[in-house]
Amino acid sequence: MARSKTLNPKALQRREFLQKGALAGAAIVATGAELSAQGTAPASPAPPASPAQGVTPIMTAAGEAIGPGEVQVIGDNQRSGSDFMVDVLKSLGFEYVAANPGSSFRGLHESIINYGGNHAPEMITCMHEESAVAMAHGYYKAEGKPMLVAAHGTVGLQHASMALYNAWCDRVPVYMVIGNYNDAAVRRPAEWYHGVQDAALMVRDFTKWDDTPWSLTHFAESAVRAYNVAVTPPMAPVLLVLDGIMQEQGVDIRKLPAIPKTPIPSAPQGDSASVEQAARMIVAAESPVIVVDRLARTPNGMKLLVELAELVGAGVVDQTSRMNFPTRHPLNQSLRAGAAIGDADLVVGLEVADFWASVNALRDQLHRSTEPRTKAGAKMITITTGDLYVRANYQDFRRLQDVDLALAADAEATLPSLIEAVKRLATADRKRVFQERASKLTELSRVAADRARVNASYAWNASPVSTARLAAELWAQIKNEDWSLVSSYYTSDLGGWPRRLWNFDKPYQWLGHAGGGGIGYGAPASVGGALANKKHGRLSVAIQTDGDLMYAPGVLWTAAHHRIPLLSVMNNNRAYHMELMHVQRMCNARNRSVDRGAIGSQITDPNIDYAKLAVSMGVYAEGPIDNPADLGPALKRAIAVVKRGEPAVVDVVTQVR
Amino acid sequence: MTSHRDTEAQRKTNYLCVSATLWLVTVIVVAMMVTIAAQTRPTPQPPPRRTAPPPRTAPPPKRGESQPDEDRAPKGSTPPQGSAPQQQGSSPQSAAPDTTPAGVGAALYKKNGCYECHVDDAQGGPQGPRLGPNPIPFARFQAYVRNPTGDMPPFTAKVISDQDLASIYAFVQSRPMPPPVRDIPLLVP
Repeated sequence: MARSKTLNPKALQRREFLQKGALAGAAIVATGAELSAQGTAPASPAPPASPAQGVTPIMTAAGEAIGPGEVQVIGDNQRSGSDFMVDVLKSLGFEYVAANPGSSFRGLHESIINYGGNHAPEMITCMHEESAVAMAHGYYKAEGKPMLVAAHGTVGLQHASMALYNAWCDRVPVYMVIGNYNDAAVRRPAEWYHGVQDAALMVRDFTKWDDTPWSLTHFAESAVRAYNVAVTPPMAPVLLVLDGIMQEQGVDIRKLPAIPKTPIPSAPQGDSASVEQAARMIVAAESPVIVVDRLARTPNGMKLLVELAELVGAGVVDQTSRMNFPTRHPLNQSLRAGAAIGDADLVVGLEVADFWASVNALRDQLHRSTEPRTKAGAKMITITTGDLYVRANYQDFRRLQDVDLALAADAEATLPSLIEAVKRLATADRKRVFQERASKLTELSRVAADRARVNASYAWNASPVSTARLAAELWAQIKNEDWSLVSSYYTSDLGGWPRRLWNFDKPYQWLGHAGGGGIGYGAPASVGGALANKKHGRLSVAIQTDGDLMYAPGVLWTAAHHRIPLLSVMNNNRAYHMELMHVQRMCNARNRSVDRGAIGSQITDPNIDYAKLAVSMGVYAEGPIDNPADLGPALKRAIAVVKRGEPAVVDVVTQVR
Repeated sequence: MTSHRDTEAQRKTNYLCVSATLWLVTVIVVAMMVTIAAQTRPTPQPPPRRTAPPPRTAPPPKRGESQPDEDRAPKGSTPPQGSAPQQQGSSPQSAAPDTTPAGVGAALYKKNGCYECHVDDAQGGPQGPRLGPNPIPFARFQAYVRNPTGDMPPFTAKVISDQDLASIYAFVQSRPMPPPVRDIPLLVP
């Protein structure tokens, strides 16, 4: 039978209306005449949905034949599902939600900005989902609480996945929600590309927990549970998948579920017997060294570590994934880490991500070999939540090191009882030993600091600017401010020059690294850290590498748009030098000339003008600067801009490291 | 109708007019170029670098040299060796190639990627120790480059000839000493 060429004009209007996506609840509309013409007419026409009832059509053959009502809006006695979701999210205390918009969470988006008043959480417009997650990563480490991230299902989560992996490796809680139209019968055409059976699957290996709530009650419980799971050590990102229809449907106000008020669980502490044994080993040691990495998860962590180190006169080696220990504390032995670990008869590792590499060296030659960094017979203790959380696929757990005592516990939470146990066990004789040891270490750290300043003086007036000179010039401009170095990615902290030359003594002055080694963390994490610092009035400073910024430079626009004060000083060395070095190493191993080693790693021809890039996105910028004499005045001008509440970029062409 | 003579005269007149115009335009263009050249600033030069010779000797790199451990900094002192001229930087600024041993060495230092770990001016960094000024004796330098004991990859004579290595040594040796720390206000604690 031929299809009727005469369609009801009203039916066409309805079809157009649906094709524009104005009604998510019905994907196909056909008139009775049209369906009759095709021989598929329902036995009896179903009545249109009553807008007063706010009922989404049931997806049966009859239901699919239902046209949209004249008016389809939420009733006065109703609230959308996503409005309730905002109530729950507000109860969790989120200040911001970083997001790149996506239709699968359009209901939540609208609820945040209208029902929620775009306040707590306030929407932060991001240019890439990876930037949104990395912003949340940096924000957490400055503020100590998670930022909400919202993303489009599937494609948005795929974009976000690298940053989620970084946060997971760094054991930082990121609270992420994505949208998904779980019911295939109601998906618009585009939603088929984004619809997925198990939306969280692709990141399940590197998130701590996820869930896909099937009701608002389910959502409320899972939302609170997700928060608690994320912030309980060992911390890590969590993900909730929010059904699109559940976001958009109306719910009777009288039937809204309650919001759970479960307290955050306390962090796991070491058992008393193990703590006592650790204390005995520390008190008995002649040359103990404390190695720390992700110890200080709160400001109290630094205080506790200082207390323990001073109590026993032990040196501290800070591996700097957190702001663990003041850089100029006389017991800080980080500038002579190799010697301090090599001299130790007891190594105490507190939340060290890679304890094996702390006490062993691997030689990266054609035939790899290892050797211990410690002297024979050195004893070892580890306290880490790493022992509580080991996953199979991604190998962030590192090599297994033989140790004498391992506490599967949160080190910061365990320190108070360890300190008390040490106090009980320390005799007067041992206290004299502790004091003598502390005096020696104080002298060693002073010599190391003097040597660092001498090392910094080499190539002082060189052009391009030496990284030591850059660090010193920046320090001169910020040392009298309430500053915070908000991000850095391994070599982007100038080979450690800030920690060698600057006085870090506050918990927020250093936010650590990316975690998983994924480049592209630095720029967005610094904006996230600066966002957290904004309300505290801190001067946020980032040392920004060129390769990192180019992963997603749009975050500069986010900083400008949201008036996030941040000074980004480019460490512009015009190459992925770490990778270049690896290629060179392969040339050497194959006995080939290395003069082509830069192919594929250099960022030249043309050189990127980062000042113009920043200016194009509304950010104040200067540079490129390759004369070190020009650097100080440029930094001063840029800091004046930042103090007015805006971001600024100073592009400095630097030496390689 | 125009006669042939008239036509020739007109052509000559036109030719003269065109010639005069071209001459005038040429004069104007030349004058503009001279004016622009006079207003153009010279290419900015990098700031002058250190000039003092070094009084230090660097030990051979140790195992674990990739760690930023200040204890690995060179100790002891010996007179500077060699007589390579002082450089203003690791990259020659003049158009003419620097044919001195240190100048040739500067190019080889770059070409062979030495700067990747030991940094542009051989001052050292997190991936490799300082090489100069005042490097270890050439024999030890050469032996280490050929058979490193740490993380440094080996450079065989096929990759860097002995002669090129000597030039690189001359470059490293020519690195000027920095000013004393006490004379650098930004480094005073």
